[in-house]
Amino acid sequence: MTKTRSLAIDLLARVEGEGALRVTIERGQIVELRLKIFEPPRFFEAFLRGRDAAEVPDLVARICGICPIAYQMSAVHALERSFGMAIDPQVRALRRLYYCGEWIESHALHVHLLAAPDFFGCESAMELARKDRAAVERGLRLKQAGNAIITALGGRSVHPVGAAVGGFWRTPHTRELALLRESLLHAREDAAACLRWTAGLALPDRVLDAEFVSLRHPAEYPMNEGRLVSSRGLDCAVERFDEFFEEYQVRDSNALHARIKGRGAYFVGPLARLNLNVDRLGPELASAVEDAGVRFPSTNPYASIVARAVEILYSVEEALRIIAAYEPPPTPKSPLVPRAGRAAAVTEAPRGSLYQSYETDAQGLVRSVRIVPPTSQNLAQIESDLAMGAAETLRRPSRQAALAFERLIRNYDPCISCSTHSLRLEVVER
Amino acid sequence: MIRIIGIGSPFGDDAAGLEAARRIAEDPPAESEVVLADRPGIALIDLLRDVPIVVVIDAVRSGHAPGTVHDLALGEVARLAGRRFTSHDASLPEALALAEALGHALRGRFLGVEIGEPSVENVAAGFTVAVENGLREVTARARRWAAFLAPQVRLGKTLSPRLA
Repeated sequence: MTKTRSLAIDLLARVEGEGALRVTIERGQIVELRLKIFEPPRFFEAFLRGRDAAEVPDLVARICGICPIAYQMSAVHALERSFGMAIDPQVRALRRLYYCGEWIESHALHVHLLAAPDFFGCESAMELARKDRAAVERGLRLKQAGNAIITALGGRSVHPVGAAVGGFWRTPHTRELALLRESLLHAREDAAACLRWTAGLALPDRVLDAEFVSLRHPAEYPMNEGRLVSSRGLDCAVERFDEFFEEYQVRDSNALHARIKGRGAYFVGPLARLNLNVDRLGPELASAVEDAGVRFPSTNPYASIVARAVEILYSVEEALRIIAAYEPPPTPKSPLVPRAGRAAAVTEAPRGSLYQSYETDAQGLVRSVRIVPPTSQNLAQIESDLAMGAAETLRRPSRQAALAFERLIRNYDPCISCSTHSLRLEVVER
Repeated sequence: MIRIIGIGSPFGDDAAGLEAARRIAEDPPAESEVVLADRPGIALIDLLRDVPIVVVIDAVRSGHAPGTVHDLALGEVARLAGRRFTSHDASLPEALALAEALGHALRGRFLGVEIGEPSVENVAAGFTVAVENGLREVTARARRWAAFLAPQVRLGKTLSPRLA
């Protein structure tokens, strides 16, 4: 006889999109643990076909309201590679600045409003705001500082429209960026305080046997360029993504999962980036991290909140550095001269590596597209993380079990809307 | 000073709040300023700073007939906030609840226009007749509220939380 206990808990508050977690237990043992993603598919890869390459950055920005820059950056880098375009070094620097804005605003929101409540026993950001108003206000100020960068380069902070294949539609005057400098100097203090705050949190002990994957650049902390590397020795050019990684369908999910061929699940995101690039932070930030008393690499997924705080501080410092060195480029963008071809790019979205590949015809019309968002790449890893110790977690009362699962999932800051593709917890006991 | 804030996407009936604010801005009431805020999410909190009273106008989907006008104190809207809070989609109740938790007094009115299921046809055709009627009604009400509240603010009167 099968006994089904459906707890119907809106499990994934404070993550994006619609999904459920289903756990099947047989004679006390977990036989299946599956994230069911039923957020409807959005067909971006289909309706990009036939569009002009120049339209792509504005279209893909609509995939995600919180990380549009990432979608724009992977798209323009892939298309420029396909068209053989050269990019002005100042434009390259501005793109890095653009990405700093997105990392700051996305991480500031996740750290302070989505993840931190867990560490203070709060159910919501509102409860945390009543308990630690200064911390939440700091998060909002940091988010605003990130948004200001995006607005300066993208025209607006929501669905920005500044990025173009070849550069930007308009590049800022030096004095416009100088205006950002003041808010970033305040943000530097907030970011340093945020790092100390997260470093002081009591992180639950958890050791993951996971393969961490991110870009790695010869000299920089990776954003737009580099090779894909892993904590287990994988090292490949992004164009060879398909040789090493594969997507696959799973039952009950509108999101594809991903794995490293022959090896399985892998972990992308700020913790993976920092684990693989801690030596790219620069000496000052490295010592600030050390002074805060945290150590990377870390295999504890709960350390993701600290990794995000490190990346906020890095992004503020990097933004200040880019602004100080900025000289407007001769033209905002290189001319787009289309040709038939195919190319791929990976950039580092706030939530991890974002792969896109484009095939275009001689007129620059898109013939085919593939987009592999970071959350899709993390789904198998999240399931594997949830399965570890799940039997023990399920012995707790339902509400507590759901909260424990939610908290683990939030370490990955999944964006279910982007990957399709409140979670209910459904426990099936046989 | 009263700040009248229009919220909404630029498309179809969902633009009702923005459009109401745009119409009010053509001839703003005395001692008022009008802000077209698009979809501010938690950035709404910044729009509540530095002014004693706000009037927020937005499209609403609560199951009532399209065109129905909702007229509530801001604090009542904050009470509608649920536990769900995401970085993509901080709804108006959640943004207001967070503002209140951060110690901001919620002083003002919320005016909503009920809209139906969004459709491609609606986006192309502009406002449906019912929503256009509701839109005119909230525009008029926002003006009446601004005219009523402005002298109270000027005279430093304490308004009942039930009222604003």
